[in-house]
Amino acid sequence: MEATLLISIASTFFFAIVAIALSMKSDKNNSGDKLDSQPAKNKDEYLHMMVHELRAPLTSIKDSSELLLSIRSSLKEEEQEQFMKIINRQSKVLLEQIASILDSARIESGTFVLFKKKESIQDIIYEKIKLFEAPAEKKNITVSSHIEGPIPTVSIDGLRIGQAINNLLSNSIKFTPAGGQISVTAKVSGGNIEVAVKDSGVGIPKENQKSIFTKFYQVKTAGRQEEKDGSGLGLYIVKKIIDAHHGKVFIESEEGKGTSMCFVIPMESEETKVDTRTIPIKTAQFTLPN
Amino acid sequence: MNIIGTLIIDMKILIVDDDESLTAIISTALEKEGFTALTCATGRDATNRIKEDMPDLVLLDQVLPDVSGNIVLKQVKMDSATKDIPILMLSNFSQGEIVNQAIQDGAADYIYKYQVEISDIVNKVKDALKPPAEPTNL
Repeated sequence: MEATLLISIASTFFFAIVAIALSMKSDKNNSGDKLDSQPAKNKDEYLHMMVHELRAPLTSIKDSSELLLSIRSSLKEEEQEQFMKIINRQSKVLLEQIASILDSARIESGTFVLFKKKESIQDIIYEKIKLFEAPAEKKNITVSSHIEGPIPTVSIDGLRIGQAINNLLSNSIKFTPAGGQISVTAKVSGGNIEVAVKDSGVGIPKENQKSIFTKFYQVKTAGRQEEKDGSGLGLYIVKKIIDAHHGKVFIESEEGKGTSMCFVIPMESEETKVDTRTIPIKTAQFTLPN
Repeated sequence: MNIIGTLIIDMKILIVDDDESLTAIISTALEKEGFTALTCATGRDATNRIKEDMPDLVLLDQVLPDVSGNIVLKQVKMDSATKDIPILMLSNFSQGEIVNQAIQDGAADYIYKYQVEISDIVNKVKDALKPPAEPTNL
């Protein structure tokens, strides 16, 4: 078990270093990215921030494994389990952050490629909501979906659209207080498919809304303390994925009331066919216990 | 509240960090050495808890969700009731000016979390709690 653990930690370190190197390289090479128009001081701040974001989970992994290796015999069984869970959880956090940095690097170097095929957005939504059951339950947040169907299957990169929905849901869970609600809606409007993730969270001040999809942008206001746990890349990646699908992203938000983040992607008629499953207004809902 | 060699009796250490994983790790390591570990996650909580609990030492993270660790440090050191509590700063940033400022403002030490072993943190806590050596009369 310990050998596997150490291999896992070593691999994570390796990927972290590669991710930072790639990200820095792409920042340097890319002349069109907004980051390059920032003063050098901001670049240093971004680098510091990125390093901090990677160091925090790595430090927890290092310290947990150290405790397990050095004083394991004096740790109770539940304490041992607690530290193994920390290693497991923080490794996942780190891998997600590394994936975001690598995606960001791919976007900027022009190697971000979509693999499109006909897929059902509603299936992707259900799958993603399922993934967020546990974190939502932890905060006693109700997550529901409202699909106004039938939604045609469209030619999309399902993994990337799933990643966009994933990032939007993750953001909503992070900034919605305990007992809140999140809904994911999808519908056809004109020649487009609209997907919106709406929450009853802390909201985003008006002056910050236009920059919210910018790389590394983080809103520093009371109630958004958890912002520091993120890489500042999640919404930037959402926008880039939707841009690559020739779509658009929108935000509506009111401080203290909540936020609705929406994306619209065109249905290219020659690539679509209507999903024959009849789901007039499909509502999947789970209400979590108090 | 005494430290005799490595024997710690009723010593309270307040850990101020919003990283739940890290506070759990440091708490366990300190408790295994006999300390009582208290935790809080924000600068504002820290200022209140330090006044209420009067810990023997504070481990204070530099990056907190509401105010910076250096601001909390200044407030504690300006209050006559709490100014003598040793404060060890914790950080994952290595920015010289912030470190120098913290030392100037009265931090007992500055620990880069990513550089040290967890046992080093425990040893630094023990060192900071040792009474100053008595001057020897020749």
